[in-house]
Amino acid sequence: MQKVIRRPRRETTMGYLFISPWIIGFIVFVAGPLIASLIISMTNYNLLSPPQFIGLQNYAQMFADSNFWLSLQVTFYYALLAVPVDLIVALVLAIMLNQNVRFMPLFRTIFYLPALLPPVAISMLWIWILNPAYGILNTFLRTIGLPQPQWFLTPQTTVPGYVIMSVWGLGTWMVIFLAGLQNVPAELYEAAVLDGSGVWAKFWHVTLPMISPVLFFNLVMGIVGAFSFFTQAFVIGQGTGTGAGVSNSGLFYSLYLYQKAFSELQMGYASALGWALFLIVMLLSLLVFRSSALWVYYGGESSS
Amino acid sequence: MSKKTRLLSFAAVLSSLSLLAGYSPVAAAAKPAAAKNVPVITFGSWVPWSTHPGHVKLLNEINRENRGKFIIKPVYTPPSGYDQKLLTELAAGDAPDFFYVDYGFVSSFAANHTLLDLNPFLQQLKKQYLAANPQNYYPASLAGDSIGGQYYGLPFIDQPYVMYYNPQLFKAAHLPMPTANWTWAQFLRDAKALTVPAKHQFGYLQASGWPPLETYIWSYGGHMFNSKGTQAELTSPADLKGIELMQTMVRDKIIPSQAQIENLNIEDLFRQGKVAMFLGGANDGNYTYGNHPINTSIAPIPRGTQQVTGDYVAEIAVNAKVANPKLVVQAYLDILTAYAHTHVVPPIRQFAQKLQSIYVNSAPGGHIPAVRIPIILDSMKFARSLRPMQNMTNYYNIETNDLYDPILLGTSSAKAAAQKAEIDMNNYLKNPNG
Repeated sequence: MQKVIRRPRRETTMGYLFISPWIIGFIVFVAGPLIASLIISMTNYNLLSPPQFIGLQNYAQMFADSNFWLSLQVTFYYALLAVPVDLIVALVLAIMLNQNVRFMPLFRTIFYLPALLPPVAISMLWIWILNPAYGILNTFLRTIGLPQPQWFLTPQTTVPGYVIMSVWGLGTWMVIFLAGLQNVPAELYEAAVLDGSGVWAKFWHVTLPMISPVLFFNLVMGIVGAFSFFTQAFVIGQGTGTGAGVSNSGLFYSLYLYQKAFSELQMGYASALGWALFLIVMLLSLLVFRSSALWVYYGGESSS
Repeated sequence: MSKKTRLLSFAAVLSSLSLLAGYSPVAAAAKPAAAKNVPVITFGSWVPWSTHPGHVKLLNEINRENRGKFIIKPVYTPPSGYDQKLLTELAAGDAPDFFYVDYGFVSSFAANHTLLDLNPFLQQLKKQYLAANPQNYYPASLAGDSIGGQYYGLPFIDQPYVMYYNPQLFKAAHLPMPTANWTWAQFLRDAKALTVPAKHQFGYLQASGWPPLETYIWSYGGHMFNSKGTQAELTSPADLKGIELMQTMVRDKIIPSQAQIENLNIEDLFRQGKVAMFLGGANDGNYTYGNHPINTSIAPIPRGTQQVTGDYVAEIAVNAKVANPKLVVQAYLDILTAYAHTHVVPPIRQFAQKLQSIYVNSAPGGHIPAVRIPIILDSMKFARSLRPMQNMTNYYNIETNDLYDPILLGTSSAKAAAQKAEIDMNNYLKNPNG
């Protein structure tokens, strides 16, 4: 009997030993910094002098900080434009790449390729594509007689410029949609055709409900991605204004957080900004999760 | 092959690889570090030592002269984000013993007790080293180093801004070459004549942040702030004249639009002959474009109501946490002295007078042309440095967002831009971190 009891205990110990690299990694690299940043967010800390505890002052300071509100405005504007546009374009591309035509693997590879490029390379490429004087996009617009925006040189067109860039790199979303589309049973389409459904009705009543879990996943990831948008804003922002575009029109939340932390060494305030960002994203994700019961279809099961 | 032989062969291959990987001129420079009981002093900079044989040679000479006393070991930090990396090293207690500091950062580093107060050591060593006596320096070069009379850093380079011009374009436009005492009014007339839209040729270059607006404001007798640094003066008549000068450049289209220069190396436009004049640091030289020699000349900056130019200063400071400060300061002064023989322009007057002896790699014959030397040395006399402020990042943000961008993009008048900038600058003065 004793042996029977000992064996599971030994197995448990062995189990913990096997997963200990992950546990240690989690404590050291995730949980530790998380708790540390929460504590630092209540201090005045510039790295060079010891931190001073100031309670919730950093959080209160945000309300009076015009750049905090500006960064929120820029990020929300980007999220409101980029997330729906990217979802629609990715879905349309996935539908196109789900057709039965020749060389489809080649087309799929071509459309996915931009997603493999590092964000810095994408930024450098788009700096030139969107160059108001020499850029290929404005040259094309000029050729067809349309007005040529100044893109990153005008506050009004800075965020739309980033949205256009984001469309180019949505290969991953497209592949996820494609996987979802390929899982839609063909019988459902056959049944819809027998009921006299056209292309639009099939999309609306069969495709969309069946891929709604994938749509839901991409939506949540899109919101998280939009609120953590940094690399492109950082690289492109360097070329205009003082690191965040003309008149701070490209001052995304993560970029502002970075500037506060590493340019101005306000580690306490930057940590508070980080926690505020966490709360905002969590709140938005909760809203999307709550709403999912109304529009996400899980094969006859309730999503709740 | 036995197991032992295989292991030995493997060890031999490994050690050969590590020897190969470890060999570089820099490693060679630091090689005497193996000597017993000789303190190793680390020197942090943004100079990629392995590609600068001149710097390595200089370091080896200092190390040879101080054999048995100390060894200076170079530490390279890439220039991109240098200040942030240095700050992180200082915070981690891992910064080199002495290091490059970009202009404007000495005061904020010193305020956080990270830099050594040099005064007691300078006092002791000023008879031994010219570099240890602040009175030997051009006053403008020291503007960022002293806090309450105490020195926390010393400059190693002080480049006054001079006007580079393309004599061929002047000749083609039948214009006389710029001379000393020329004015901004003459400059504007010349720049207009030198602008040929059909050839995409422009008279001058003005980007957001370069040349600095302060230079124009100073030349009309204006200042960004009052003498106490408590109030912005951007709407004063003198300041407005300087800001209006920049607006005139936009209005008269003597500069390329911001769209045309976005993401370009603007100085290259001058080197390519697409722009006739460029305000740059004296060290820029502009002797070559790529490997090809180009024909350029220099003139002093035009004057408004007075002759003033800006300058670029970079400093070296000593880590406050060094174990043997006196020895480190000696090594530091050795480096400053050696740099005064290699950098254009040395901020120490006695060395600046020997400007012609400094080797300049790209210059014809390896030395600054004689005709340029009096212009550079004169410019040193009326050069002015930016007043170092707390949290300079916010200062530059306001300047860019309120002045450069609206004026250069034509979205605001000089007066309206100055009014907004003055309000923001006053708020900045009240709360630099806000």
